[in-house]
Amino acid sequence: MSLPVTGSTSPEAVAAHEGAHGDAHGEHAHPSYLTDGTTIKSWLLTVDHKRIGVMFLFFVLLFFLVGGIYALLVRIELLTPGPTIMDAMAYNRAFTLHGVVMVFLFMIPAIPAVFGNFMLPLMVGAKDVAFPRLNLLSLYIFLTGASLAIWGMLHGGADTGWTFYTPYSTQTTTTLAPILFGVFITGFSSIVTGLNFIVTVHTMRAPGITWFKLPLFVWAIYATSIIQVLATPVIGLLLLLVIGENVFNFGMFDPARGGDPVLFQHLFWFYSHPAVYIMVLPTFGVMSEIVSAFSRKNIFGYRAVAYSSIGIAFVGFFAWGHHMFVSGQSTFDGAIFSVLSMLVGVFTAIKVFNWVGTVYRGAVDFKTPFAYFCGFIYFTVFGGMTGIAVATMSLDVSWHDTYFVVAHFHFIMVGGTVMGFLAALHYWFPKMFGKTYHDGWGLVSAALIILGFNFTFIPQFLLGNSGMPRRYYEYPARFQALHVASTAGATVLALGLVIVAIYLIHSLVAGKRAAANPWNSKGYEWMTASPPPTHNFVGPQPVYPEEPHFYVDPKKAEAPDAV
Amino acid sequence: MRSPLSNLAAVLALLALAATAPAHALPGKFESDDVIRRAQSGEPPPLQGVDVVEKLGEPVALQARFTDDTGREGPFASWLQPGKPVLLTLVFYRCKMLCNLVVNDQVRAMKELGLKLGQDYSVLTVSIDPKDTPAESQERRGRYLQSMGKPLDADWRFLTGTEQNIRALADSVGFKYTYDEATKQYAHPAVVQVLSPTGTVSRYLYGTSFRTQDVGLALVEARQNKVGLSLERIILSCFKYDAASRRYGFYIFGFLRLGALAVFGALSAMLVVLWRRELKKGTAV
Repeated sequence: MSLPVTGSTSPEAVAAHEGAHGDAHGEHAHPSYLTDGTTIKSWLLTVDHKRIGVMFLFFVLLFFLVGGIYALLVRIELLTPGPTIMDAMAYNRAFTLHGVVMVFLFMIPAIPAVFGNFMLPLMVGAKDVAFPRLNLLSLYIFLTGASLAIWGMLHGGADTGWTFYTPYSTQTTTTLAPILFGVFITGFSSIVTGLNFIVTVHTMRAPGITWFKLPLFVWAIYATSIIQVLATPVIGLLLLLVIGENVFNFGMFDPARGGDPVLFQHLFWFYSHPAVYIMVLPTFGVMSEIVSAFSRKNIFGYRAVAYSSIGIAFVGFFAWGHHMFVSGQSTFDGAIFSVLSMLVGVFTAIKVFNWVGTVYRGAVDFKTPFAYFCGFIYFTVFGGMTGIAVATMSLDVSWHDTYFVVAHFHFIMVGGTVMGFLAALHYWFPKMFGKTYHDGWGLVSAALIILGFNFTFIPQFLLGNSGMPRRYYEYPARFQALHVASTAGATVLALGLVIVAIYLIHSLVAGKRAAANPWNSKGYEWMTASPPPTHNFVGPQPVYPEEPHFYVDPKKAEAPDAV
Repeated sequence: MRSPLSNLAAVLALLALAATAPAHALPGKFESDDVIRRAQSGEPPPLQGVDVVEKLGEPVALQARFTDDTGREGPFASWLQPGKPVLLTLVFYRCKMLCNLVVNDQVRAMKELGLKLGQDYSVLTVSIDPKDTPAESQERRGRYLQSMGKPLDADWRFLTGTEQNIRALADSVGFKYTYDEATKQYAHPAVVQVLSPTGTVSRYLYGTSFRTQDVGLALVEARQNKVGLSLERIILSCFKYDAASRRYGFYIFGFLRLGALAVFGALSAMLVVLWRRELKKGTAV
């Protein structure tokens, strides 16, 4: 379709145009990326960032399902103090599988590989990412690694927990090598994706989009990508060393042969702590987009939010020792790591205040994505505060390896990453598939998820505080009530997620066609049709506003007849 | 207003500093525990006089006199045979752990080796304890040959000798050991020397788990009178298996630092190039 030659391609203009020319037969002059080639081959060999994002979405959701099922099995097992539905070994394998799948196959790739891939080029006004073929390769690398890891878990499965701590991981009789190697391979996907995004942001921006006109989601993905490129090689090397230790007896982490088990912990957390920011920074980006779109207001303190993403990425590299307060590192080191960890809280707080400042006096449109935003703010603040608590060395000595820590990081990971993932899914669903979903069901399921989540993990804070260790198969009878409450909460959480799956699949199959910009968002990604055509933009390049998230024109706002 | 570039430059500079700061440069050692203090200060463990001073290419003490398990007495040279390299181990028979580990693994490697004992190489085991007797040598030899499934006439002799002769031989191969009064044990390194047929030191194999391939290669080199290089000096002692763990640790850390700097350097270089290009074009801000 040719756009009106007014030189302006505001989302409203596009939407109006779509309305005028959109036809019921789906025969577009410029077919959307979904209809441009419908064979299996055209999907599997595509270099279109949008299709790659959609394929990532499919697999990431699949792994989310697998990890979720195992989480429920673990919770069911803990309903009673003794054995419930599995033996101790099966329990160890179940929580290991839950951890490995959720961390390496769901949370780390979730937002960058799905929404980063889909939205980033649209947001910088590019036709595609910088290296489209490399992008497709990253999908296949990811699938190779994921398949190998899953295969390893089904054929024996590890019982070490997702942290693979030595010396146990070097002695365990379970099959660790394929799982480690699978995770090692997925790391390359992470690195390639990160490099691709960095180069895309630098070289593919449309004329007129300077760094301070970039949507905040792009800043967040950029910061995430730097972490991915810098940190992932460390865990890659480490996983190879553990494989070597486990299979060929290197002696690298064996003190009897001149090795050092604490070296493993240092290397592991040097990656895995920044990895939590790989998981949560993209969520911060998503939330920055959503909060301004649904408050109908410019983001408050744009530069502070942008820089704090970079700040978190930076400080995140120097906080790894807070996982090792009881590993025998010196108290001095512990104190340093403790202070550095709290700096993360400072940067996160800057973001939280800015988001809240954005909502303040905004015209809030309370749709499903905004419901997830509210849940996210609560979880991030609550989880973040407990994070400050566990980063305090004296307190952590008591809480280390208890359910308190488990509850803390689930608050951040589920409350951060999963909220962000669901919010992004609901916010961009019309963009990606051109279909609407039922917002009422969306709100109901969001409420169920947020409630269920609280009921799952608040009891775990209490459990951890009274001394329930993590990863234990049995527990004293006095803990049972809290465990049952936690399992009940997990059930409600699962129910909410099932409802989400039902109405989203239903709307994919039989949903109403969405407007080009159903939220009236000012985000750059809405300046083209929904779903976008294969090359993202048709006709002249959109004209970008003076600043991103441009809801209120300050000049007009001063006038008495301001909107 | 600072440009994003200068902010980024500051970030990169700090990261670079952090990557190069050595871990032991941090103050704050509050532990009084000796072991921790030693481990953190990088001092070697208190095992004086246990080491291997490599004497590659130098002749061993060919004139030092020993008695073998059959009771035959003669100079060390009389057990060398033309064209046959020698696996030489120095042990003592009352040894509680390390010697057995060394010899057992040597036996394992010999079993897996493609080379034939007696045809391609011979083995000599010398006791460093002057109190050990030829009778004990015979008993020990019988046990090892039986475990290898070799006949009793195999080309593996066990030698005993006087303190002076043992020291002469040990010094000539750079094998440093001490006697510990407290435990009545010798502290010694875990190492197998490979000698050429003419009795010069050709290669050292360290540790208690030899790669069969290495043993084979060392023997082949020794037969051709080539001197091999020892790539890994991981020396174990009778008391603790960590006489050189610091070195080993450094080795890993050096590798890690190099890798980290390489990755970091590559990313920094890329970002510098990209930022400069943008700033030149004036599209950055």
